[in-house]
Formats: sequence, structure tokens, C-alpha cells
Amino acid sequence: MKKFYWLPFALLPSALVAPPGYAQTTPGAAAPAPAGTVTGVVRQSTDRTPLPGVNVIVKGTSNGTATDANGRYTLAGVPAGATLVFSFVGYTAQERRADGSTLDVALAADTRDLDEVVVLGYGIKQERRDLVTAVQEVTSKDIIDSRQPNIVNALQGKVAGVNITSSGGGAGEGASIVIRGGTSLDGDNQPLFIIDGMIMDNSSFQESTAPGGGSAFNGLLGRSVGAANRAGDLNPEDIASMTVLKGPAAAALYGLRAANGAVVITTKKGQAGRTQLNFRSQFSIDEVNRLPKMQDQYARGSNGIADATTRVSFGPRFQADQPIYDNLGNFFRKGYSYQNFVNMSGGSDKVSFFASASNLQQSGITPQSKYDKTTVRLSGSAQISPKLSVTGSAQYLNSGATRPLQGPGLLTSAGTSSGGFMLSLLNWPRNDDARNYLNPDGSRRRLLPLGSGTDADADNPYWAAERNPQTDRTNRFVGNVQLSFAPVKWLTLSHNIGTDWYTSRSTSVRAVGTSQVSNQNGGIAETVDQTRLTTATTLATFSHDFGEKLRGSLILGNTIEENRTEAVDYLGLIFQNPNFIGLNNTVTRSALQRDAKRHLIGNFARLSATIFDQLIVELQARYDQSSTLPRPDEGKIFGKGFLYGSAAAGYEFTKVLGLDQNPILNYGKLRASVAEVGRDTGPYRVLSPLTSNTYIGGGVRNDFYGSNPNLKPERTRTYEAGINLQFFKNRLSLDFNYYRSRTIDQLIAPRVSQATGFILQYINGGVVTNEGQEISLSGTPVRTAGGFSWDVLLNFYHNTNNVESLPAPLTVVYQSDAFITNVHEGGAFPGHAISGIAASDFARVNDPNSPYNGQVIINATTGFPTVNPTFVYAGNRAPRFTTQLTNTFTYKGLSLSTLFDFRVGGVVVNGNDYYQTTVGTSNRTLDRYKTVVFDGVVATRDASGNTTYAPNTRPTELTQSYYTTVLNTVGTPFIEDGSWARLRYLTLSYALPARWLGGSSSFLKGIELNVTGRNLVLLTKYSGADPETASAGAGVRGGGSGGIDYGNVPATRGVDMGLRVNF
Amino acid sequence: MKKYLLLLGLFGGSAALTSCEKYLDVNNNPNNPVVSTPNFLLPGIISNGIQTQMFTALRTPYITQYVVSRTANSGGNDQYYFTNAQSTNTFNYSYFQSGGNIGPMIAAAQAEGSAYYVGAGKIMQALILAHATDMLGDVPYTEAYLGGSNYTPKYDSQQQIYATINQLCDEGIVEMQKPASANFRPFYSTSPSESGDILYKGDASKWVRLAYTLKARQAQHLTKKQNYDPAAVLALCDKGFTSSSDDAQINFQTAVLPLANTTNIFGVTRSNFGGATFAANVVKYLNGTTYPGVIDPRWGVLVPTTSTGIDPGLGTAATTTGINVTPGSSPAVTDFYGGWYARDLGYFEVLTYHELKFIQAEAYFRAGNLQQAYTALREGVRANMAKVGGGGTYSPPTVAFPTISTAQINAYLASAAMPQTAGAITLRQIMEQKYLAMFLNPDVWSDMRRLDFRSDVYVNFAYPSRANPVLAAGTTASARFPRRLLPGATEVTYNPNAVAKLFSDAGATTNDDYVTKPLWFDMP
Repeated sequence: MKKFYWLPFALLPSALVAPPGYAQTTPGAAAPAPAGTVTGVVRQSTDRTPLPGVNVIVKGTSNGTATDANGRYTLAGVPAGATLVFSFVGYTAQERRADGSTLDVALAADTRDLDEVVVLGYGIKQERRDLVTAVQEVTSKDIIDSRQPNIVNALQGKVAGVNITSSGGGAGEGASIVIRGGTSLDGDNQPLFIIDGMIMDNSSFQESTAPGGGSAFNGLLGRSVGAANRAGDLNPEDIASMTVLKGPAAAALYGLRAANGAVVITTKKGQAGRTQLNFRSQFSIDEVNRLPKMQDQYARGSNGIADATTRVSFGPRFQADQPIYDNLGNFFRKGYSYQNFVNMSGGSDKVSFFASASNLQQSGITPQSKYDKTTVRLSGSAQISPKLSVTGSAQYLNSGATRPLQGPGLLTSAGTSSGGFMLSLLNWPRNDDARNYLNPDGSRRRLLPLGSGTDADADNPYWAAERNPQTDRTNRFVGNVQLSFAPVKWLTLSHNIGTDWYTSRSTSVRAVGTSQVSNQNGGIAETVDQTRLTTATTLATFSHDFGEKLRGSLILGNTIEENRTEAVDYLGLIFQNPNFIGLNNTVTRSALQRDAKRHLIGNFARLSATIFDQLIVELQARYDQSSTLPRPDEGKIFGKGFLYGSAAAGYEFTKVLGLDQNPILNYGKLRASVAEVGRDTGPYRVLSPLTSNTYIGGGVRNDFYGSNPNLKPERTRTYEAGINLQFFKNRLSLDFNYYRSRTIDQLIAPRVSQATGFILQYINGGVVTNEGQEISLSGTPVRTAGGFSWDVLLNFYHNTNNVESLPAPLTVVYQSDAFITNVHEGGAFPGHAISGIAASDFARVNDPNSPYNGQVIINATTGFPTVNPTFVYAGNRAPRFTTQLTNTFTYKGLSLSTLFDFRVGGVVVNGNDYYQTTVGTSNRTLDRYKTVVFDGVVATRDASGNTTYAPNTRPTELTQSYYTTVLNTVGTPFIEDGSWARLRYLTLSYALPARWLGGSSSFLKGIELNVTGRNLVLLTKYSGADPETASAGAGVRGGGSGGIDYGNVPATRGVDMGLRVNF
Repeated sequence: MKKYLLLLGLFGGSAALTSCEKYLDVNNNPNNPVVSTPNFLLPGIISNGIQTQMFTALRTPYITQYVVSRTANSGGNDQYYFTNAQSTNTFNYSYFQSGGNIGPMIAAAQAEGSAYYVGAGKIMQALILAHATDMLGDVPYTEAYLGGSNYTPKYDSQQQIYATINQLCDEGIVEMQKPASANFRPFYSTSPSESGDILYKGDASKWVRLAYTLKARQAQHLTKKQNYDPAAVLALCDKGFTSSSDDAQINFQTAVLPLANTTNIFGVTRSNFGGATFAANVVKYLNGTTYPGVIDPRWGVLVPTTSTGIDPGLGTAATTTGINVTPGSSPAVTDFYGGWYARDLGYFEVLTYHELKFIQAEAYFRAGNLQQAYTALREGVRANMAKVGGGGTYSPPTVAFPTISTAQINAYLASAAMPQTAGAITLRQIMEQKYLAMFLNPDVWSDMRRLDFRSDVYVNFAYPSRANPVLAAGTTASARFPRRLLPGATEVTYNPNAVAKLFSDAGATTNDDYVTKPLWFDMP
């Protein structure tokens, strides 16, 4: 008999395509009978142990029951030929026709089954056994179990080869995701997000780079506010699965924007059958996890003497009876969040629907901060005729936040005093109570008087949180419609068109009387971003099964993308009425337009063939034409086309060895692939645009960025090999991958000699390599007949990222968005990772012939170490390896789930300590007045001009000047190891037994209670706050801003209490 | 069914192919044009070209001892400590902010036939290069402005740059001497918005005089050279500025968005000099110390009369103590902000009539024509005093400046500070009057360098206390002073080979060593 393996329509419920081979039926069913009673046993498919608590329901009715402790069920009133639906959390639901009075069923766990279908994007689904590239899927249950409102955070620990970094602990703050290390020195290294076959935006607000914009304009820098990442807008309850395609082999099909991998999101669709209603409610409490430490010995002053003209704490020792305020600790409060989710699904064989709504209200751990998110979604599908079907989804997302000004603050150079709330707290003298922030007349209580035209006094953090709020609001629509037409059995034509469209409004207020530079008379800055991503994809899918020897599919596709942004920045300064916050109330105003459009046409083909049911071959090719790349040969500034693709093969060696039924190793597949993927650049980089001259005379001048009429695509080639082994009848699964990638012709805009006429120049050049291993181990070590089970998921990931070369004469490519303190900046050095950190170091002997080579040079006069202001490579912020371990223990309705997260290696810049050292609040400064002899050497120059070195013997006192003029200029002492071990979450949930709810006939189908603790344990040698931090936000390109801890909202720990009710 | 499908596919396919090209043609920037008419490029070339010199003037007044740090032993420029970062703006504004626009502007002007814009472009390029090379030495020109085609441009020798400056001036003069009818577009316009020549409001003859004055200044820099020819300098002077109304200067203005930082770089709002106070060097000339009993009429204008003047490295009390502060300022600010040149809405001079008079005086002096030297010197002093003697009240901080009457000027001209006969004129008198008249101007450093900071010329000049030991250890008197700025920090990072060549050409291995090496103009 010929079997047809269809690559199914996107709208078909996955249950329909589960091949029949794994459904266990009891042969010899009796003849059909009228409405009667059906009995049977539900077992676990791999080891045949009975499954208690499985819901059994007559499809399309409310008639149902649940299995008992022995997996046995009895259901009365089943019409002849009716379909029974068997469902249980963590298992793939099954629908079986009740043709007799007994029906035994085996359910498969829904995460690791080989026959499970993985959605690869564009609605293409593939059976797991046919996968030949590195793909890992995270299911709805895992996403919900993590209790994370941001789906990027929900991926944490679930996928090997992925590095997720939360920016900070602010309400609604973003997180970045990088798969297999970054490939691009200067570009965005986060993966492409695809939702229901169309491209989705996951950007973070960043300062506009337009001259007169961004830092010079509204000052709302990425590093001044902990902005959201746009994927966080989604409702986690709407997501059926997230598939992470790790390498370019997996992503070659999805176009140049997937060069860093892809996260393919499939949303929930309605299930045929009884209408189901789910309700989930969650209440969470958060508090700050760790805070920087502050010295409590010395009060405000300089050089040991009280001094009212300074804010620094180099003053006298506290008296015994003098109050010492915990300004830092007092500032943070408990944050609360309330989340409610409701969703409903149902339908008939022909038409189904899914509707959901969610709401989140959160108050952050800093005063005034809050975040809210509301989502509404409706999706449906209809089988119009046997050949034609349509499916569609529409969701409206609304989110917004009020956030504190953090980091260096607005328009201030790094390290100055009028920065964000955290720096203000860190330099607040502890003999003064920062909570007392208003004068009797309602004005801000100052520590220092206002100078003429200058202001050295930092804004009080309470005052700033109240009067200088940074707010944002996003209104977003994401929707698509897909039409499928299957004229013949072996061909499906489909068209999917969708859009992700949002308006985001970010407002920054500076109150009258603020210390923010150039804004002392108040002001308001607003950026309105309208972004629209449209994707239209047409696919022709040919599939055929020639029996045992060959089955396969060919997909031909075309996709058209439009990426459009229309942004305006407004700035108004000087409030006429100091108490009215509004643009019309300002004296001077300016506006800036930033529109961008990028078009792409991609044509692709994908051939997948399975030979003798054991050898899988997959070939992919794609030809992209991008509007952003020029065709210099044709004299055109747009539309360069380029071809790339992949070849992959997998071999199920267990078939030929006859191991299918082996009790130990029952499945094994080797796979290997090679892939190349191209990448385009941003719009308008071919011809250099002019820009406003913001100095006297106005007019126009050249832009910061020099364009380049000869840009070509950046290319990444990846080799990958892996093995997948399944042991003990699929009880244990091991997946190992090795990959090596090389990215050439980097599209970068490095700073260049300004004699070029520009500050930065778009060029192609530089090579970055990544090499790594991923091990994923999953299984169920214990499952007893008594209903106890223990599931394990272990992910190990190691990546070596290396900048092989930079275009001459560049010695480093800096990430200026990650230039946070005066002495540290993110930078990619040749021979090191792109996530390197550059810092100034002590001046050292640089003479290989000297016995003192490498030693610190001490100033002979002062006895202090000397500093070399030139930045040098000072460590890699990416971890050496990470391991995450998820354990789930289930006993009947009780479930305990934990995620341990281990990170080894990777440095963190303790910018808070650096700042505190210069203002005298760091514990480091408790060594003040001690006399020490610094390790190092003193240089002397002999008569002939040669420098000789001798060990330093000069005792010197650690004066204020040592901290403020020596340590203040050197970055390396503030770089620490960021390794950690943490219990990321622990969730205990309990599903009430069905009989408590009134049995199968009750309208209440299930109640689950859960309590989750997040970040309960953090073990790290890092001396500052939580080392998982990215103080310039998730949107920083290149090596990102992870591992820079400077003035942002510290990470939190918390408890969630939730209730889930199914009707 | 299949036929229809095929037809549909073919139709769709061909339609797609034809519309493909059109669909991809969206790479034209909708926000900003890539080309401009020359009148909107010239204002930025002028203002940013001049702003370059303002950035340099954050450093050079410490070298030339107009100002010193208020902090004792601060380790700053006044004690001959320099960093690459301090030179960055001098280099970068020369090439990016201003110079990078000259080529496109000249091309646009030539294309449309606007001779004056071509001329202004060349003269501005000469002015920018002249300043850059006098401060930094060798600088790029032949390989500059090439964008991505050459992002590591080589540096041209100063001798070659000097020749280029002369050539650009000569070419600019030719353009500027063309009739107005040789212009497609007015050289200056206020409608619909101000555009074009914001320096001289469309007066091409002033540009001609500017070019000659610049040539004269550069030629006068070469007094150490064997082929220095005072007659040639004097010939240029004759074609240069004829009154103070010819002065090349930028008037500061209140910042109105989107313009920013348009107030005085020396002013209190920009707050670049909060840690500075006046040097004893300049105070002694004004307050009757150098010439006992002769109070300069500019005392109280250039420097508040309460200022004591401090030698470099010694420092003075904090502003809170009320010493060396602007009188009446509350809270107290440094006395620097009480000076004429620190007015927020004052002006910044690049090249002036009074400077030309002192150039003329020195050239006549060197040519042995003392009578003409005497006349030029007195005219230079008079012109400067008249210009800064307008009086008025300015804020912040609130300062009332006295007016300087003709009688006061004449009294000064008749005082012991000035030669009373042609025969009595000395180089010292010319140079110290030039020094006072060119208050804070970076080119004063060029004079001091070519005169090797001679103590018989600059009599009040004090060697800094606790100066950078590398310089202080200099074996010859002239090797103990800074002779050039370091290469900009961005050049060290992004054009390292060119910087290495600068060091090897200079015979220097360290930064401190490098700054003591005289430039070409400063060598015989």
C-alpha cells in the first residue's frame, strides 16, 4: 500500500498529520454498536505504563471522563462511530474513532517524539525524524511554565546554543537573544523572528543616529532607558510552539535576515471539538535581587574634611551617634504584577476558531515605574472545499511603560554626575537622606547650588523618577491570511500574506529645575516610530511517496518583503508654564524626520528526499534581491541579487543495523550539512546623504556616515555535523552538534580617519568565525506505574567566537552604543571575540627583554601606578560555556519543575563600582589613608637615554586623589568574572483531581494551582548586582551590551502565584 | 483546471518580472538629499571651518599663557602635558565638519556657474589647511576627502601644504575678482532663509583681502627661513584688510533649535574654562606691572581689574573664596568669564585688520623700514583698542565693560609702553602688542614658536612650575617648549601608519618627545 506523506497545510491541526504507525490499537474490535459505553486503558506509548488523569471526551460534545489510577476509563453515551479525544498535559492529544466497546490508546509525550511535527516557517512542517539540521522546539507548556511575560526570556534554558541576556530588572525591560555567537561585527546579531510565516519585528528602541537626532536631540538613548524588545509584546499563551533554527543551513530558506538563525513562532489555532475555555491568572511579587555595596564609614566631604561644596564621600568618619542612611536600599520597593489570560477555542471539522485576551499590570521595583500589556487575538480556519482552505489570524497588542532614567542619563557624557537614578543613589552621601527630596516651596532639594550655566548636582532619584519620567506606548497589529489550494494530491499551492504594524511613541520629560545638561529649563522629547513589516509568500509544495525506496518533497517559493519605518522626533525646550508638560508649552521646538524603506524579493527552492526510509537529503537554494545593495556594474543603487543555499544529509544508521526494537539504543541518526547565507545592509548606504548643519549658519553638511557605491553582501558559510541518539525506547534522547562558521565581507561602518570627510564609513571587510558544540540530553529517567515521573532536559553549549581579521588598518571595531563608562567600551579585537571589552589599563613595562616585562610602572614622584589611556582588550563578555538543567517531577496532579542555570566564564564590567570609587562610596575606598607600596617598577632614564626599571619601594598614602585621578582613569581593575550558578525558577503546580470538580460531567474541566519562585538562588563571585545585565539594552549591534553593569535597574527575584481553570 | 493554473502562473510571472525592478528601486533617501546647491553648503563650511579654530583655542591659550589652571600642579596644558584627545577636534573639524563639504560645493558651483562660491570654497580650504598645519604639522590633503576609496590617507608635508595654501588663495582670488555677472546665483541671500556667504554677506572684495591677509600671515611665519622676504609679505599686506570691518570673525548667537552650541566657546554657558584663570603673563601687561604706571585701557575689558594673574602650575584659591572671580558673580565664577572675549554672545576672530597691521609692522621692522613699522604698530594698537572699547553690559555673569575713548588710546600710544619715535621701535614692542591684540587667538603660538619663546621678546612669560619633566629637561632653551600638537586620538586609532610616519619623520618616540619637535615653518 502506498502511503502519502503530505507536507500539510498550515491550518491543519497537527494531530491530523500524526502518522498512524504510532497509534496503538487493539485489534479485533467488535462490530459497530449504537450509543453505548466504551472502556479502555490509556498507556504511555514508550513503556506501556498506564497513564492516570487523561481526559477522554466525545468529540464535539461535553461528554467526557478521566482515566483512573490504573489508566482505565469508562465513558457512557458514546454514539456509534463517534470520535474520542484523549488529552493529557505533556502528551500529544489523540483522536480515535470509537468503533467498539473497548478502545485502548497509547499517548506519546509531546516534546521528544520522533514523529512530532516541527514547524520550520512559511507554514512548512517537517517530521522530526526527517530533520537534518539543528532545530530545537519549545512547546507551549514550557513557555507557560517559565512564567515569563517576555517570550524571549521564556526560551532561557530550553535550547542549546542560545544565549539570552536580560537587560535589567526594570518593569517590561527587554532581553536579547543570540544564537551560536554573533557573526556580524557591527550588525544586529539577533535571530530573525517569524510568526505564522511572516517576519516579525523584535527591535529595541535605540537612539536615532541621524545628526541632530538621538543623543544630540531627544537624549533618549538606548543606554539611558531600559527599553523593551518588541517580541515581548506577544501573549505567551497564544504561542503553540517556538522553533529555533540555529544555523544558516536551517535558515537558508528564510532569507538573508536569518543569517543569525531564526525563531519560528506558531500561534495556537482552534481545535475541532468541544469549545474549550481556559483561564489563567497570576500574581507576582518582585524585589531587587542584589544591590551594589556601599561603604558606611565616611561621610560627605573631601580629603577627610566635611565639605558642602561637593557630593563625594571622602569626608570625615561617621560619628557614633550620626545617622547613616541606606539610600540605595530605601529606594527600591516591591514590584507587583497581575496577569490574566483567557482563551477559547473550538470548531467543527470544517471551521475552527481560537480567541484569546490577556492583560498584564506591573509596578516595577523603582518608584513610579510600571509596565502594562494587553493583547487580543482571534484566529480561525475554514475548509471551504476539499481542495481549498483558508486560515487567518489577527492580534492587537498594546504595551507601555514608565521607566526611570538610568545609566549616564540624558545628554551627559559618561561618568558625570547628572546621570540616571542609580548613579545619583550611588553617589548620594550617606549622612543625607535622599528620601527628603523637596524643599518646602515644592522645588527640588539640592545638595549643591546651581552654578552659572553649569550644574554639578545630580538629580535626586525620587525627584527624577517623579518629574523626569521616560514613557513609551506601543500599539501594534499583527495579522495574516493564508490560502491553500490542493488541486491534486501531490501538489499544494499556498499564499500567505501578513503584516506586523505598530506605532511606538517614546516620550522623555525633563522638568524645570532638572540638572540634565542643556535642559535645566525643562523640555519634552518625543519619538514616534511607525513600523510596518509586510511579507507575502507564495509556495508550491510537491510531495510524493514512492514507497519504501523514496519519498520526498519539493518546495518552490517566492517571498516579497517590505520593511518600512516612518519616524519623527520632536523636541521642545523651556516650559513656559513650568507645571504643564506638553510640547505646545515649550519655547523652542524642532523636528526631524527619519523614514526608511527596504524591499526584498526572494525566490527559493527546497528539495527534501528520504531514501529507503533512512537516508535523508535536503538541498536548498535561494536567490535574493535587496533594494539596499547596489549594482555598480549597471550603475544602479539598488537591487543587487545574490544566490546562496545549503546541502544537508542525514542517515538513520539504526535502520540498517536492525536496532529499531533494541531495548537500549533504538534510534540513531548522523547528519551533516554545509550552508552559505548572504546578508544585505540597511537602506540608503550607497549615496551619502547630506544632513542639517546644526551650527551657526544652518544649511546642510555631510552626514556622519560615508556611503559606499560598491557594497556587496556579507556572507556566512557554516559546516555542521551532528548525531541524534534515542535510548531505551525513546526514554532518553541525546543530540550533539558541532558547527563551524565563517563570516566574510562584513558590512561594517567603522570609525575611520576623518580626513576621509566622514566619521564613519560603510565598507565590506573583516572575518568572524564561530565554532561550537551543543549537547542536548532529554528523557524520562523514572516513570513508575504509580504515576510518578521524572523528566530531565539538559542543554550544554560552548562557543568560541573569534575575529579572524579586520580591514586594515583597523585594530578594533568599537560598539559605540556600549561605550558606557569613560574607561570601558565594547569592542571587537582581532584574535578575540566580537563581544570583547576594551578598557584602559595601568601602564606596563613593554620590553620582552626586561625581567620586569608586564609589570605596572609606578610614578616615582607619587608612588601611584601610572595609567595608559589607550584602550586595550580586557576580556570577553560572552560565557565560555553554559549549561541549563530542567528537572520536572510529576506525581499525579502534582508537578515540580526546576531550572538550574550554570555559566562559566565571561567577564562583567562593574561600572557601578568604578563610579562609586570615584565618588568615595565604594568599599574599595575604605583603604583610604592606608600607606602602601604598590607592586610594580619605577622607570629611570640613564644618560644615554635608555630606560631601566627597578622595583618600586616608595610607600605612599591612598589619598582621595588616588581614587579620583588614578583609579578613575583605569578600566581593568573593575572587570570581574561573571560566572554564576543559579536556580532560575522552581515551579510547583497541582492539578485538582477531576472528581473534586464534579467528575466528567462538570462544566469545570480542570483547575491547576501553581507557585513559582524566580531567581531564588544566585551563586557568583561577582561583587556587584546581578551579573546578567546589559546596561545599554537589548538592541546593541555587534557584540551587544551584555556584561556591562552601570547604573541600570538591578535584576530581580520574585514569586508567582497562579491559577489555571479549564472549562 | 491545469491550463488555467498555468496561464495564471505565466501571467503572474511576467508581471512580477516587469515590476521587480520597480519594486526594488526604493534606495533613495527620503529624509535628506544627496546633493545641494552651493549656497546651503557654504554657511556650514564657513562656521565649522572657523569653529575648528575655537576648539584649538581650548588648548593654545594655556601654552601662550593667556590662561592657567586654577588648580595647582594640575598636569594640564599650562604645564606642557598634552593628550591626543586634545587635538582630535582640531583635526576632525578641519576634515569632516567643514572640509568634507568643500569639494561637493565647488563641484556644484562650477556646474551651475557660480564663481564666488568656487572662490569661497578655495579660500576656506586654504584657511582650514593653514590652521591645521600650523597646529599639527603634516596633514592630509592630496589623499583627503576620498571616503571609502581611501580611508587611510597619507599626510602631505607642511612645505607642500604651505604651497597648496598659496595656490588655493591665488585660485580663489581669481574667482572672487570675476564680475558679479559670472555668478548664476547670488553670493549671499537672506530670502527665503539666510544662505551663502555668511562671513562677508556677499562682499567678494573682502574675500580677496582675506586671501591676501592669510597669505601674508603664512609668509610671515617663515621668518626663520633663509628665503624669508619681508618685501613679499609687505606686498601681500598692501592687498589685505583695510579696516576692522574686514575682520574675518564669527559672531556668536543664542542657540535656537536645531542649532546648538552657538554661544561663545570661551563663554560661561559652554563652560570650558571654569577651571581656568588669567595668567600673570597677560595681567602684568595690563595692570601697570610691566610698564610701571602704564595702565592699559583694556584692563577691565580683557581681564577684570580684580584679577591677580597666576603663573602656570601654581594655582589659585577656589572660586568660593572669592579670589580671582568675576566681580559680582553669584555664585562666584572664575574671573575668566568676566572678560570681553568670554561674552556668551561675543565674537571669535580668525584673521583681523589689527593682526595684519602687526604683521606689516614686523615685516617693515625686519626690512629696516622703522618709520613704516612705527606707523603700522600704532595703527594696530589703535584698531584693537577701538574694537574692544565699545563698552556695554553683558550677562551671564553680569559684567559692565568700560568704553575706551580716543583720548585713552592716544594716552596709551604716548605712554612708556609704546615707542615714541620710529627709531625706538623694538621687536618686543611689536610682538607684545600683537600678543595683547590677538587675545586667545591660536596663531599667537606660531609667533612664539618662530621666536623660540624668547624671554627678551615675551618678557613676562614664565616657565611653568613643575612642568612636564620631559620638556623641562630640554637641553636647549628652545627645546623646552611645546612646538606642535599631538596627532588627534582618532588618527592614532584609525590611521596608525600615517601617525607612525609623523613620529619617525620627527625623530620622536614618545608623545612628550614629539611635541617638542619644531615644525617645518619653525625651522631654518
